[in-house]
Amino acid sequence: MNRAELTSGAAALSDVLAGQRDLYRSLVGIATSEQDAIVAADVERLTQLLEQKENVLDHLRALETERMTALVAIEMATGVAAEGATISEIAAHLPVAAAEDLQRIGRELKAEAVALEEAHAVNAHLLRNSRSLIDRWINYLRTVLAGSLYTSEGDSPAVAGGRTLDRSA
Amino acid sequence: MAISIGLNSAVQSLLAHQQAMDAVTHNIANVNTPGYSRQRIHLGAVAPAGSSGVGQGVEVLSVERVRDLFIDFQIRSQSHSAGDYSARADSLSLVELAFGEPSDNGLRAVLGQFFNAWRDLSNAPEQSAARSAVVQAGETLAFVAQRLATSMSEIRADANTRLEASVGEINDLAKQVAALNQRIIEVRATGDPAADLTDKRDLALDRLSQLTDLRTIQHDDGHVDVFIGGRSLVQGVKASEIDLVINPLNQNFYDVQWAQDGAIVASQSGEVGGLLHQRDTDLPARMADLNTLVAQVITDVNAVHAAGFGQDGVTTGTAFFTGTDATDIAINAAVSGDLGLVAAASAGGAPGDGSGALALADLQRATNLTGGSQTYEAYFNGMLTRLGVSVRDASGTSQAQAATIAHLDQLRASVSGVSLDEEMVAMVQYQKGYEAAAKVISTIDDMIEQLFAMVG
Repeated sequence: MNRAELTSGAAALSDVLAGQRDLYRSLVGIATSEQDAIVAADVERLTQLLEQKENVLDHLRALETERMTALVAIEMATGVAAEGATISEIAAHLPVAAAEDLQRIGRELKAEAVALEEAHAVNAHLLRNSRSLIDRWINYLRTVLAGSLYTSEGDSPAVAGGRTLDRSA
Repeated sequence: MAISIGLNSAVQSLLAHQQAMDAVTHNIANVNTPGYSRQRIHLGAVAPAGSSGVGQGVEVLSVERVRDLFIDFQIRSQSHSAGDYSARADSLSLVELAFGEPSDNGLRAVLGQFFNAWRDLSNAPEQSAARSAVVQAGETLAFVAQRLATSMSEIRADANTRLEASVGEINDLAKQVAALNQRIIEVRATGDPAADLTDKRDLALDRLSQLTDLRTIQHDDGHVDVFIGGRSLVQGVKASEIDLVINPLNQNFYDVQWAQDGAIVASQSGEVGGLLHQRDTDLPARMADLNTLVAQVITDVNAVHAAGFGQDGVTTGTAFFTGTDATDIAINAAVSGDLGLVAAASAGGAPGDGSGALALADLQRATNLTGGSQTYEAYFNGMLTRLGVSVRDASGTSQAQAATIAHLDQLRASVSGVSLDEEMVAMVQYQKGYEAAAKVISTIDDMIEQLFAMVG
């Protein structure tokens, strides 16, 4: 076992996980705002939040590369396969203090991920319902604009060209 | 943690959205309803419960009735003016139609034919055919003048009768506004903006403003007071009544009075104002013009005729016309019964003398009207010109007012009208926004799965 390589790899992994924890925490904050935007049907705000999310995702992808680099270094030192390596497996090869530090960060990261997953579950539910409602309305409006709807007087609300309100003047 | 917002508040939020959608349905269902104002739902976050700082979802804060009150004010102020001029144009057009000028049967033509008949008689005073032609032409002149007078009286009577419908409608609308005031106050007290009821009331106020020159005052509790000439037609939930009372001093035409105390309703404009102005000012002025002309013809013809002598060369002092003006002009029955009484001679004992008839024919060129400055024809032309100008002014103003109102209506529709296109665009924006949000959530969830494998 190459102790220096292990220490360096574990430190790098801790840094990466801490970075991921911070990014997930910001994603939780965005998810909360996103929830507010969905319930307020504020699509403009929702779009702004999506842009923020995309930026965070870019950072997360960059950190993923760094995480794999650290895991490969650890694999070289310990033989624990980088692909599918768990924190517990890695910690077992580390000095106690470093192991505890890595596991603490891992727990914090997991807590943020769980919070984010819960937020997403609620948001996904809201989005599904909202979408379903909107889809129904779009279908209804299409029917009206196509002029195939009639009032009790036998008139069609849609006039020629599908323009109910003439703004030509 | 904010994430603890439960599905409960999510459901509450979706209900709020359902209400917003209901507003859209309502807008679409009323896309062709006259006077309908688009409604817009305002959503807002529910305040956090306790000290958690966690939002409780969203609720409907208010339902806004999209309406521009300034445009309403402008439309109403133009409407009573349009109603006024429209009523004037209607009556004056009928007067113009009654005169029917230029034509072979109009007053100008028969007046010319009357004096031509005298000219013909001056050339053949002994011929009974020429005497008969003079009497016939006189009868035609009297008939046409009386017909015109009768037509104008009928148009005045018609304006008076139309007041019944207009005043009846004002009373009905005032009751409607008062009843709607009551319901609006009640509904608004519950926190509902009473948008549909307010639309109905605005429609009633729009129509009222065509009928009379009203002023309105909007109150905080939602009710509107309506005033005509400074007196209240509607005050809160009470409507005052307007009566039509026959006035024997004005040819039994109606006076428009407040039922409460009999005071005259000071409606200066609107259809009622226009009808009153026609009945009491415009039409009497036209009638006076006609009477002035016909009275002058009667006076002048009778004066010259009475100075002349009949076919027997003895009879003199006979009036050709009876009556005093266009309403009662007629041929003297004695003359029409005895053609020999037609005074063609200017001197007695000269049966072949046609100078009396010539003197009568020459009246056509005499300037006896308007202080000795106008002939009958010139006066008549002036009358017709004044009438034509009045008709053109009233019609032109009425049309211009109608165009202004149409433009304001379009402006109002652009503010308050329902556009299905706009609703559709909004819905598609929602659809796209939700779709994108769902995709990103799915991407991040995949990453979380991988993360759990490592930290698990």
